[in-house]
Amino acid sequence: MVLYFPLLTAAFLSLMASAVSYFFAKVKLFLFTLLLFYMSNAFLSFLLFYDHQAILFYTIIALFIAFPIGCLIVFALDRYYAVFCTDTSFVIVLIWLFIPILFAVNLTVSLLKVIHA
Amino acid sequence: MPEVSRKIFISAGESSGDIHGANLMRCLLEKDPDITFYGLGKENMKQAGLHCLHDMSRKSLMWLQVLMEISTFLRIKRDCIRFFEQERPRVAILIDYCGLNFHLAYAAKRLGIPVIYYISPQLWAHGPWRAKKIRKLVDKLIVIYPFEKLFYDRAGIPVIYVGHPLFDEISKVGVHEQMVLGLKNQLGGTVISFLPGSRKQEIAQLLPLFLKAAVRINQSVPCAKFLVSCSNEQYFGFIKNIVNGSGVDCRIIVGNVHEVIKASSLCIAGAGTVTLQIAYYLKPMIITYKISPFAYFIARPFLTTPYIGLVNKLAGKMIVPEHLMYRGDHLWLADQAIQLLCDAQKRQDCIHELTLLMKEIARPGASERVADEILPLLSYPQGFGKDICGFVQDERLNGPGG
Repeated sequence: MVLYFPLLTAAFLSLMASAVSYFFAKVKLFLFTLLLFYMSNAFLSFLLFYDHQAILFYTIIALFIAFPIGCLIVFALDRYYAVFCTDTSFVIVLIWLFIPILFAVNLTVSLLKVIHA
Repeated sequence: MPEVSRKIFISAGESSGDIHGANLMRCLLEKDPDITFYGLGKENMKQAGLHCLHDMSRKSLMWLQVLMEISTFLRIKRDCIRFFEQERPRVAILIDYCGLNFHLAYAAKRLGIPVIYYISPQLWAHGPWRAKKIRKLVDKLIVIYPFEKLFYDRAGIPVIYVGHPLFDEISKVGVHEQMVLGLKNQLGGTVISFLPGSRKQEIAQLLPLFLKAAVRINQSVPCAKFLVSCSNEQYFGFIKNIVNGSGVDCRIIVGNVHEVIKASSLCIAGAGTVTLQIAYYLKPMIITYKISPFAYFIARPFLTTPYIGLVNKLAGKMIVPEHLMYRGDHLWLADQAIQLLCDAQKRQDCIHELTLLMKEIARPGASERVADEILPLLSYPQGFGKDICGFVQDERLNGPGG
């Protein structure tokens, strides 16, 4: 439980930093902060869910972390190698829809655990 | 030389593409009456002689609407590919509408059919990296703005600039002067027209904002009278509801956009081709585009041009006020409108700049020039088209998929 708040803080700060760096098109900084965001959230989800609800943990990892990262890779491939006929920039919308949801899930469950502790 | 087929595949999905496609078809038919056209289009292209594989009316969709109709689009694509395989058209002419046309370009190129892309998607404004796709998919790109030629030249794409076909349309159709006079007489005062766009989504975003600004404008310019241009008849009821709800005294005109513009002292428009029409009549204008804050956040890193308005982009400087809004900034809009109506010097400067711009770009004959580019492809036996438009056989295998 001691780790929740540092992880939540790291997740929140990296979320803000990635939003700002994305907005100003600082690609490397965006990727770095996004990596920090996913790492802190993955660890947080592990602490919150893995022991009692492992399936939920794997679902969160697959849906909110692996899927958006996959989308980002698809977009990067398309951007640099023009792999698809379809314009893949819509995946950015998906990524930015999933990012706050992941944070909100972890934040809510952390707070509930703290309250019930 | 053996007798060769005169079948051309042509595809347009939007209303403007349909008009330009129809004009191109007429030009080609004038030069070679044996040509037969097959493909995708709307009413105008059908009237010009298109054997329509699928009617594209009501297919100008955006975002989620496309996902809802995905099965329809897949069916259209499948039917077009079957047509390519069975009929082997001489050339595929794809007009804008890159969502579907890129897929058709890929299919055509894979089968060795030369692909001419007429009216490029606005990659220079958002997503310049997509020029790589065009390089892989298209044999010749025909663009309508001079700066597009520079952009695609730099990307190594065979490109020619023909001018904007809109000016063919304007010079052909002309203006109903009596209607213009009638509108001016009926309304009296200073006429301000609102041109929010042709899509329902654009109208819903912009028209309420324009009407809020109208209230403010009326306070400073009491003689101001307002017109709303409804380019699509099916949205008349929708526009009427918005206007009635605003309490602003507005007259809605269906179609007749040229007359609406010509009768106006000032036009307030969404960012689209209509701004070129306004510029053609040398009317001062304000260009706005409104998107949600989330859409602005998503799009911001991809915006590569400082201008949202075509007129400013073409001039290379801000000759008319423009604003990309994510909040409904009607006060800015009203303020700019009042300045353009009341400040004679500002108004004159705007008209002078528009005059210079139109002298440079408003030349009719674009469709004719496109036809001249396409016709040589029909004179060669099948397969020789690639030599004319720089078609490289090996690249067919490396084209994008998906």
